Amino acid sequence: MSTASTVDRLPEGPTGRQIITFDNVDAGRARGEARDVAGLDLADSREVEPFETLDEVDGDGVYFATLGIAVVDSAPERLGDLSRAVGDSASPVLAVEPEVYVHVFDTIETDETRELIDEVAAVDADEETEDDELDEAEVYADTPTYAWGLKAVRAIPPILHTAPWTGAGMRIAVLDTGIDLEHPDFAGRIIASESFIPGQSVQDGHSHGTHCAGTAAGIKSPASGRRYGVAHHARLLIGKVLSNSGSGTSGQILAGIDWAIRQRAHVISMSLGSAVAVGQPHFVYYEQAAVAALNAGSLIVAAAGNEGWKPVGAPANSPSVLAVAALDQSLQRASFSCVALNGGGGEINVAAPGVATDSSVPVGKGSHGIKSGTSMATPHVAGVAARLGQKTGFRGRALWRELERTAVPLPQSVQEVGKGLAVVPVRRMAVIAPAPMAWQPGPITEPGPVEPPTP
Amino acid sequence: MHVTLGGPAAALAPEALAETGLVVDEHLEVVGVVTGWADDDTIERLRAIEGVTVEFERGVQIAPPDAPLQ
Repeated sequence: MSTASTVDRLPEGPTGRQIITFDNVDAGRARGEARDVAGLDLADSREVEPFETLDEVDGDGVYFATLGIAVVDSAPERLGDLSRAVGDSASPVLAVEPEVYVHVFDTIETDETRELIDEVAAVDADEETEDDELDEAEVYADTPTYAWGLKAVRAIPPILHTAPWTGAGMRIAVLDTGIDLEHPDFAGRIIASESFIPGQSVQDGHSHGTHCAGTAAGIKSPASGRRYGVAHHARLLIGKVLSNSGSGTSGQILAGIDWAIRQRAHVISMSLGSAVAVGQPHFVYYEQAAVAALNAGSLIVAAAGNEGWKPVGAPANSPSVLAVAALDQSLQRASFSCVALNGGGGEINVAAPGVATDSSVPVGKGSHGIKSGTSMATPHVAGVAARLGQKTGFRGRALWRELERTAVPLPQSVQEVGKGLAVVPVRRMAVIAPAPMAWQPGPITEPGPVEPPTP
Repeated sequence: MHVTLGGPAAALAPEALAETGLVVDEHLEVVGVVTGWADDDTIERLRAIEGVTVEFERGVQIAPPDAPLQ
């Protein structure tokens, strides 16, 4: 292309206008939002005369009601407010993006499609990863910085991925032996706590509860030791339904569920249960409580049990309670993890790491410790559910389905591991393709006198 | 015996339960469950109420802190 073509060359890059995408709301609401948030006066496309440029329109932009999209001509600083509204689930504004010139590909040179490449990369990055295959040979191990389970459930995202949903705004209720209220890792993380054990405070005299709460929602940078919490921005509701010696009753557990629903828990994690015989049905009361929880938007996840090749225990065997199996470091079902021998709720729904899990224990017992069991797998799933719930806004049954849908299938049977490994939602990083560079002749360097080879 | 009752809210009305002789321990309205104490005759009367299920409370026990499996 010669320099003479600069004048009639096609425009490229951002146009200076912005495109605002709205959720499926009526025109009045969308235009009202633009006016309230950014002071933008949008004309309705159905009421304006056909126009060539926005300058002809009376207003800051035009709203296309059938598309739910507005094109505005506005100073960038006014759009800052709209961009902040994108992250607000209460706002109908879904996206604010610069309008760009778009051309048929062969009318411009390849090095001028940079914006298109970036656009495509941005779209790609927003799609869920389809790389749902597991490396068969992969064996996970703790590292100095994180527990192996975090890597397995992708709380530590795979290479070239990020895990931007951290569980912020989500509440996880852990119904267990309480928690060590003095543990520095939980400072400011516990919204509410309640003991259902007569004569005992919430303070964890066992260590099981502190370990499970840590796996579900332990902080990103613990005071000491490696990272161990899946949903590090979720907050905790601690219901003590098991005594310091680890015992409780179904009545205390039901009282704990009742409390957790009242506290508007999004996820209720129950690393507890009692063994069930082959052919034994689920308990009506646990099922009734679980249905009430789902209806209120609380998803109950429970440990399948550690009896080995025996039926899933109660309450995990209730149809409306999500049953969690335990996996070892090579993502095989742990030999102790109960299996689906009974129907009618006795299925395994998902699996998660539950062997040699590093997490918090009471400060008096060393602050950190390693435990194994389906009890350890369950809070991994609670953390995953919190992060999924934050990403999707799904609650109750919708969150259950999403958790199963996004689980990574495993080679073992559904009877052993259900839908597979529960994983944190991740997004692929945008890969920016560098624009090809035009060839330029380099400087010619004088090699200097050539020495004749010495004989 | 410590029992747990489930069923529709109407069936779990406190007056109806009191007539049977059930000593109500807790009425968990959110989950729709009543816990309480009842002897064999009372359990029979409770089971006769339409919609009510009666189950015995069970103990739950997790392993001690230093057990290999939790």
